[in-house]
Amino acid sequence: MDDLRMRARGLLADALELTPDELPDDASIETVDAWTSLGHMRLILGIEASMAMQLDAALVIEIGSLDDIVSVLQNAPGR
Amino acid sequence: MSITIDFGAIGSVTDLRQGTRWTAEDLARATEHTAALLRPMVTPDRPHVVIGHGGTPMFFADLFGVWAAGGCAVCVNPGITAGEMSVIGNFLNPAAVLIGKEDGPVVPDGVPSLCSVRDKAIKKSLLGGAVRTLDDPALILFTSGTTGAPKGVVHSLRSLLARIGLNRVYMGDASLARSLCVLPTHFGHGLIGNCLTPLFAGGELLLWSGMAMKEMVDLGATLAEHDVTFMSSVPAFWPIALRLSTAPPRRCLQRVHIGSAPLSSALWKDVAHWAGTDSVVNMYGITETANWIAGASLADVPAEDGLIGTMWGGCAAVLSVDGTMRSRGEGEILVQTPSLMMGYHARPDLTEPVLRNGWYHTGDSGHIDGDGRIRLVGRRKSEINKAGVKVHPEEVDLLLERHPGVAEACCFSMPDPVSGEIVGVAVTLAAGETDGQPTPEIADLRDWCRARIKAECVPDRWYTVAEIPKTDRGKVNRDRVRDHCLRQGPG
Repeated sequence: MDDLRMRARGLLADALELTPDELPDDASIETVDAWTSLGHMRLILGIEASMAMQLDAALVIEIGSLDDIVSVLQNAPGR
Repeated sequence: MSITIDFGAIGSVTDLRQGTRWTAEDLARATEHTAALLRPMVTPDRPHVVIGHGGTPMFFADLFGVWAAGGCAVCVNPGITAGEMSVIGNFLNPAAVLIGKEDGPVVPDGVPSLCSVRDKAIKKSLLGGAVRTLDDPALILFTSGTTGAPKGVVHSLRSLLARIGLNRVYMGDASLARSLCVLPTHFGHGLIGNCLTPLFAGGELLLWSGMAMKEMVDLGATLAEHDVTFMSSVPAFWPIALRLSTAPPRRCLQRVHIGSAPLSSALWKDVAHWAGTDSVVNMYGITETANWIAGASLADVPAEDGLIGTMWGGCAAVLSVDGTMRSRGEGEILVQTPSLMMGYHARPDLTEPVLRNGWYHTGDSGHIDGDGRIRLVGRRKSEINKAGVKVHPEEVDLLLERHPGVAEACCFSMPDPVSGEIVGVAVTLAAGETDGQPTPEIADLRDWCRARIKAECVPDRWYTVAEIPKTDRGKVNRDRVRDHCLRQGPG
């Protein structure tokens, strides 16, 4: 779980052009100013590249926090 | 004498988020209210009125109100920092700042802040106001320099009305019946092209600027619900929209414009498929020319990277490397258009190099073929195009070098799959403690920038380097600095 969280934090930090340390544990669209629509799209592309699959449009919208990213990675097929 | 806007011919404005619709009569009333507030303040010596809000029907009433009072409207990003507003205040000494709402931008000391919704007009002020002609400055849009040396593009009502008139000729008023604006209203693209053109064509303008991810899901349905005939956007908007929203359930769009950044031929075709029309037009627009001056539609030509079509009024030429100007061939694109700016406000040093003998030097490199079609291949100026927002690297360099912990900074463009380009920066840190402060961390520098400059100008990727590489003549080549940073890696 810690590994997944670290991976999620890395993906989000890369997408938002921040360092992982700058992200709070409760990072979300509401709490991180840099989480813009363009940053969100970069995050989705990053998640998809790391999972080698395309996310469903509904899931693209639902992802709104660091916990959500962990959950998506956790439920990746083949995991 | 003041300019009269014919509200009998103007369209209506609807704020989709608020669900409010302002008819031409509502706009006329609110315009007169703003004009009455401003007339005692606006004088020929102090004509500038900053509009610090946008994206609402009130914005247009304030804009028209500034013109009706004989003033020159200065439209700024509503997210402007206090420092940037102070720079603009010192540069223009504006008669007033229109803040739109109580928690609007911080207004410089000594400048009245007005909220048209809140403040009451005095009847006798109807008698005041500055004298205005079509050739007086009417609009200033800042393209850079709000942290130091501002670069404000000045348009007269003549250049704006020329652009709007030409847009209507090339687009046709039927396609402007109901226009959706998802762009900010303080940029030429959103303001002049997407908003003022349909309004002056008598159409209905639907405002939905700053669309959130969750709202984008509803794009197709919203277009059909409101029977939207026209919309414009930047290329970066479309990969997200196509991904999140289903196509409109019935065909309504007659025309789609995409501009302000390079459009790939693949995305161009994807948008046409989604929108259900071939009238998807790759637009070429520059703030200095009141935005759109050329366009290429899939209805007329196959999609091609860099193709921006033929001029919409005026003419184009190329300036080759040997200094020869030709109507065909390769070189820097030069244009003549009736919608050309008057110049940069109080900056002849910036105006003279780009406005020569009636030609505007765009700084873009391209090719004009025998049919007058223009293809852009690159640019000579160093600006970074981040999802349609132009970032001037020199401005960010200078800002960063004001930080006591930074010895030197150099910003550069980096490719990005979502924004097209993003801002990278190489910084050399000052040795040891400076002004009693320890060496700054990247996060500190980023926060420091955020407090002083618009969010889109804050560098995205940061590299600390021992030394910024220079050419053998001691000059900075931004491409070489980027390559050096990429080889070195982040941090």
